Amino acid sequence: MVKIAFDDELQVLKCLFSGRLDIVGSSRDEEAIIGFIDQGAPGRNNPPPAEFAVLFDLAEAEYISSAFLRLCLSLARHDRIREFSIVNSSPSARKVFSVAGLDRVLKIL
Amino acid sequence: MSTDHQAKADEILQRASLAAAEFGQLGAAETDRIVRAVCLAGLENRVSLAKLAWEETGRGEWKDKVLKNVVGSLLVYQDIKDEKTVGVILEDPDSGITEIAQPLGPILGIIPVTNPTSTVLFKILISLKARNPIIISPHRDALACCGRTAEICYRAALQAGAPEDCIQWLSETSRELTHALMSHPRLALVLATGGPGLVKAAYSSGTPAIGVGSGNVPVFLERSADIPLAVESILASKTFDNGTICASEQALVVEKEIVDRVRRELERHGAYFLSPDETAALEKVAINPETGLMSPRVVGQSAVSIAEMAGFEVPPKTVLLMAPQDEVGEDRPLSGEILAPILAFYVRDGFDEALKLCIALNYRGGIGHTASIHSTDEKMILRFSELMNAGRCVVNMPSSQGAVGGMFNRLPVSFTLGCGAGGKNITTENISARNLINVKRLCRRRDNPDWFRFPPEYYLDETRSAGEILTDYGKSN
Repeated sequence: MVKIAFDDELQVLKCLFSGRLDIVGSSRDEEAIIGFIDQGAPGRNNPPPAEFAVLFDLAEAEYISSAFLRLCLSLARHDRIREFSIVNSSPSARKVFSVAGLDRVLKIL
Repeated sequence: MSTDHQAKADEILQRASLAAAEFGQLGAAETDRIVRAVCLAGLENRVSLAKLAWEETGRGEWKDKVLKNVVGSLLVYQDIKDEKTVGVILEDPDSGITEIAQPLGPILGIIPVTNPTSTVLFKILISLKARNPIIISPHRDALACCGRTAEICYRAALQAGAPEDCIQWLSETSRELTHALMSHPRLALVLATGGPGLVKAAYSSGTPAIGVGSGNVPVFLERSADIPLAVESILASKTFDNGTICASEQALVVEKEIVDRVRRELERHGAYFLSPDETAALEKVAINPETGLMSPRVVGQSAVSIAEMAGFEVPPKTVLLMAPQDEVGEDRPLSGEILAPILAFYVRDGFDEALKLCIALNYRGGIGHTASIHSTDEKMILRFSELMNAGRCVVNMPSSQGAVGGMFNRLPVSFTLGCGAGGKNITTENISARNLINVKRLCRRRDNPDWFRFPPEYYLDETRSAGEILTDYGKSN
């Protein structure tokens, strides 16, 4: 389950992923992230501003599916997201992005 | 090339690349579970897919296509299920070399009209076993049956945990789209089964390709052969699915000494020997005079309907048209490949003359493919096999089923038969999952004592002869 937090100071939406990001996990997390972008979090009055950055933290991710890769691509192309970055990818996760050719189009730190 | 075709190819390869990335994370057990599920799905639908292929293409016999589907699913699966295609596949402590399999990436599987659903099953199974996504590109006359087969396999694969888009298929096709896919930078391999033009296009695309060559299979009935068994085998092969397998016999070469017995046996089993006039009439419908190649009209049609097309009648139980020929060459149109129940028939006096004719047939458009002999004389079998330029020399068995493997021998089961350099291919192997992985070699240090026995100065001394060096080298052991 993804943990989502918005850093108001840096205007960054931080998403910490864990476990298997297979088609089921990715769809569930996508719904949560898009819900947050559109409506904000429960208890938070306002959604993120018109433009902000997104940071995906893969420190606890175990398996990455093509559905998750599509989620990364769709957010990177989202018209409200000015910058999309991925951090803490394991070597095997990094390879997944390379095999898919996404290391050239996404910012993977 | 139109931007539409390029955009379509981009989209297909984008999906396939994502699937390839996901596939690479799966282990051997997960991969095997997917392959097994796809095999079962293909096998479960063997009859409906065969009927669909037969109705759509109008070629062959649906009952034979059922058997082809069983080969393409069950036999292929049995052949590859224990193959190591994931992770460490070989460890040799002596050499210090460990071999590690890695997937190639997205594969484009070109499917012929003659064996459509069975080839789809085969290519999907071997690609998935090697953890490669595959894009099925069918012949334009087999789009629906290939699409249905791919869809059935895809659903089963997904249910077993395969990545999304690990199998894609084209529901329409064009030369431009095929070219855009073949030459796409994200495609890893073209697995091209089809005619010479298509295979050449695959090789010219700039993407690595495994192709096939055209066949012109001679079958030599040597005097020591078990004639009833040989004739039964030839008929079982050449009439199977109305002769649509490229490894089927194209010309029967018989030693004069046994010709009468062979002819009687053939006729007893429903082979019909054509008169010179009938042979001439058959040439006109079976061969395109402009290209000198077989006419698509006769491919996979029954012997009776081909005779009708040629304007003569044969007994209704005729299963094979025997066309007596004297020589081989472009001026003898029936001495080339025809994927139909038509078999050129030659008689020669003695082994050497018969063998020379087989060589001529082999070099008339069938280099590297398959050759067949029926004999009980091991010396003759070996002489024949040494002189034929063929990836497979099949002995005392139906050539079609023999070359495909798994039924009459232990060849890898395959619907893509490599034809070596003679057939403009990289290998003579029966292509299988093992051909669809990159093998990394992890090399641990193992110093060669012979190399380190002498300092470099030893080799810098010009007065030292090559013979002396060769003698000294290897003395460490």
